[in-house]
Amino acid sequence: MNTVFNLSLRSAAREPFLLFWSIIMPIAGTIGLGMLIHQPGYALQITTGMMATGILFYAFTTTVFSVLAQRKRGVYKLLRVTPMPLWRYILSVSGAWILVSLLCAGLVLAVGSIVFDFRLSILSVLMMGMVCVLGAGGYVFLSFFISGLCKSEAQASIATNLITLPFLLCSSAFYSLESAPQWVQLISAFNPFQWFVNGLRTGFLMDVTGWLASIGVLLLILLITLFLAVKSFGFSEA
Amino acid sequence: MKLISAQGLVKNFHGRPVIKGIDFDIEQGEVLALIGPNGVGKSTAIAMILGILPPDDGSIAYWRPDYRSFVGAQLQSTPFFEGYSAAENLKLFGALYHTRLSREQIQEKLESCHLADAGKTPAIKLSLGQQKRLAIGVTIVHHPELVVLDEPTAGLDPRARYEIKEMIQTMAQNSQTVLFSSHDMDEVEQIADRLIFMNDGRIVDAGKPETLMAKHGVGNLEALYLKLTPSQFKGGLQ
Repeated sequence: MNTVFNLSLRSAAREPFLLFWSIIMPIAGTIGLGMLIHQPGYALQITTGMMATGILFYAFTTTVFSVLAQRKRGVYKLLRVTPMPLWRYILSVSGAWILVSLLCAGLVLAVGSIVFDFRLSILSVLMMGMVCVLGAGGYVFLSFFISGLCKSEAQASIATNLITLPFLLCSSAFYSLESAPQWVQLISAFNPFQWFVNGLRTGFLMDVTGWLASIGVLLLILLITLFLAVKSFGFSEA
Repeated sequence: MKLISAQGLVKNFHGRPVIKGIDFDIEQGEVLALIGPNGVGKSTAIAMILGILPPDDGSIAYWRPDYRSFVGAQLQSTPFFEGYSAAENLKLFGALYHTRLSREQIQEKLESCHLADAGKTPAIKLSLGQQKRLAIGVTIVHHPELVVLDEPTAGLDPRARYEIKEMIQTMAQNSQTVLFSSHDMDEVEQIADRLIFMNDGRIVDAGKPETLMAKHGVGNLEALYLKLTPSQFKGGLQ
């Protein structure tokens, strides 16, 4: 299991999309928008928003394509021939991808903290870290499921855009939804990405009640997506 | 000793029968060739033996309950993990079979696949012949008792085919049992101990090459192939 985790981590770190979509873009977005928009609390909003976006792009979008490539190669079919239980393989690979997501979010937070002079406590960082792990895990498991539904890169591209765009646009990652139409606010209440962003912000502010609510929702999403991921192996490989 | 005994296997896809009740055994130490035109069900039969596809009817008895640890398989799609080097693929597949490989052991495996200088090369960048050799290399990384290869030489140039044949002969010399599918009668003649001819989802005949040729009154395996797998075209070529 350690070998699978270590090799997955090494391979993930070599992924060229990771550098741009989950490191450069969120850091540039955090600095650029944070310095451009002078509103109280916006530095916190954009930093946590970009942390969440970077994780979404890596743990979901990048991994959908990565899983699809392996699936098309037939390696997941071969997994069924090996003695390694499927759940162990999924957990090992996902663990590596979650760790990469956590490191990316940590980088964005570190840069945001330096640029905007945040005073972060260890507890706050730990609370945000926990949210990152649960959120990234949910996205990674969702990526297994979505890639199982797609037969080509074109379908994967459409599917990932269909999921990530509403996630991002109906959330307060980059802008406040206070003056948004009622229906947008209603959608955002059911938007898993909004719960992820909320978890990061309440963790940042050490708002334990709000953080626990987000953790609960993210945990539920994680379990549902894990179930879907394992099931998707069954039907897509058959 | 029988490693595998398949009885009355049936498989339908979307109501269309693909395997129409086949019985066969795989004896320890033999090199068994599964022969037949494209689309007669060879890969489906292999997938059922490997446990990738469940049969709709019939049964498969294995020589040991933990047989998965002692089977190595290479499917038609040349499976290996993209984003990993040749050496990393060997290490990863070793881990999937609970076999931890040292750096020296990996180098030995690379040499046995004629890939000594390609250890650090990403698997996706290897030539087709090298990819096939790597795919067979990962198949035998854990010294399996039974090796199953689905068209191992398909689409390869003569040198690459020769090298794959050499690898199969080495497996036979190492007392490994090999089941492989092929259309290439020269290859079959050189390496197979026993043949199973399939046509239209059924086994049309099976036995030792010389016995089958004598039985059907033909002088070579190509003539035997043509006799046992008649053209599906009505009227044939003018």
